[in-house]
Amino acid sequence: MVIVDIVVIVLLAVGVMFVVAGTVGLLRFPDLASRLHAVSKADVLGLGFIATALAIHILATEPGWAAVGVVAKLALIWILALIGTAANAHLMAGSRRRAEAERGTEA
Amino acid sequence: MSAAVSAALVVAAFVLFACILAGMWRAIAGPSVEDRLTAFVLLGAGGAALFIVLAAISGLPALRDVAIVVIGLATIVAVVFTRRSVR
Amino acid sequence: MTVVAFSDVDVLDILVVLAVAVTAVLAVVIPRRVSATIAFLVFGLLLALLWARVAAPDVAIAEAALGGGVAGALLVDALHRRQPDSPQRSRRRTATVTAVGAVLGAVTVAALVTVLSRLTAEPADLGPLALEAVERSGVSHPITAVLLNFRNLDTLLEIAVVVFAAVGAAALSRDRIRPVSDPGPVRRVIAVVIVPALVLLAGWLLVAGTSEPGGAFQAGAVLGAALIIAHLCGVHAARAEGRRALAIVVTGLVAFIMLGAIGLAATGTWLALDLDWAFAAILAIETLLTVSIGMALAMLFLAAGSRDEGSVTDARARAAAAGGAP
Repeated sequence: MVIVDIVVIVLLAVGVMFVVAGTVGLLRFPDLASRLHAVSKADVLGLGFIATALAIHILATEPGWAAVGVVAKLALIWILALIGTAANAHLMAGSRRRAEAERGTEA
Repeated sequence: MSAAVSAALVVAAFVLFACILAGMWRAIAGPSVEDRLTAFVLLGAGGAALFIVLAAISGLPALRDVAIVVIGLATIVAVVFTRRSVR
Repeated sequence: MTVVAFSDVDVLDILVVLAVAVTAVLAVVIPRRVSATIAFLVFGLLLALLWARVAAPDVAIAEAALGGGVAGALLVDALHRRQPDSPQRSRRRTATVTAVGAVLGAVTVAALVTVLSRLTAEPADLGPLALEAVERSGVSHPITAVLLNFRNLDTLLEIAVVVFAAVGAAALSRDRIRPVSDPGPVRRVIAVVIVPALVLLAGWLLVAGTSEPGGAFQAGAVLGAALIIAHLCGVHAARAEGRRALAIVVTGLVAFIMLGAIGLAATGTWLALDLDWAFAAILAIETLLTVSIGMALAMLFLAAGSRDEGSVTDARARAAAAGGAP
């Protein structure tokens, strides 16, 4: 039991660290493109680690079919986050490129 | 749930909440609309992380449903904002 | 599974409350519309967090789905309309308004505090009564039992309001809404992956509502957002406009009224549900309500956007006419 707890805590810590890194990147990077990198990659990876930690935790503490459902939900959250942030990154970058192109043609 | 794990979960909840507040700063201050919408999507992912941690802490499994809703609908603002470009 | 000692998480609750208050003030005070809109959306997310912290997951799901979904879509769409950010007001008038607002706010708070401190009677025991009666309602989740059985008249009236809003949207929407022609690869991925996931999520929330937090409103809000995303990503079938959409919206209300009549015929009381068929009736009505609400929300969004399309079409027509007749 103690080993599972240690694994859960380590994964939680790693996940939270990645989320913090992504947030710091969002705040401190100089322009939109680098901020998009920070958000889409670091934050979602952090979410994945946190979800994995919680999945292991629930499988260890309350095994059974309900726990499998919870794990499936956590996996779904992560997949939606992956696709959602990636799609958002493309949409935002495209919107910025179009806006710059328009400003270029006006000027 | 052992005391160490529950303590770790509480710490994680606090840190994630702090990240949400920090992301809010970018959402309000960010020089362009795209920055703000990206911050909002980050808030979606961070909020989902916070909700699943809270689900483990408080024993309310429905909070995982809230997390799915938050992250699933986070892209709607980006899709709506860029709709003008697809005519 | 033991719950964490309360003293740890109370601090978090206080921080969330402060954040909610600050965000609300920011959403109102910030002059730039883009920032104020995003502040309002963040306010919605923090509010959902607050609902989660007071153990009200049904409301948290509804707040996340509506505030971050359809309301977010409507507000962000409105950002495109070229109106000035806020009208220039004289500083004296702003000061007067602020002072009056502060005085009224203080009076209201004082009145509320006085009333609440004078409350000595026992609070009404409707809560325990309802919880006792849940097993006779047909479902096992108390919130759904109250909304769809004990107080379903209120829900019927709420659906009527939604229908009226959809009728208004249909009346205001101009012309037929054009389908999105070339969505592009990113939107196609969204349409193929995220939209079906959201539809499944709506179905799950609908069915879960009978025994866990969920229900028709939450599912309808998610479905509405899914329809909006689907339309904007090129799914032609998701155009929530015209007679077909309005018919779907009205069906929910009509079905609910018919349920009332059936209840009257079966038990002698309008909208009363017999325990034998209560579960089936509630699930059926919730399904229809989900589709109704989802369609109505999507109609509202598309109608609001169609007026911009209409104006763009007019402008192009005028430009073409002006260019054709020099």
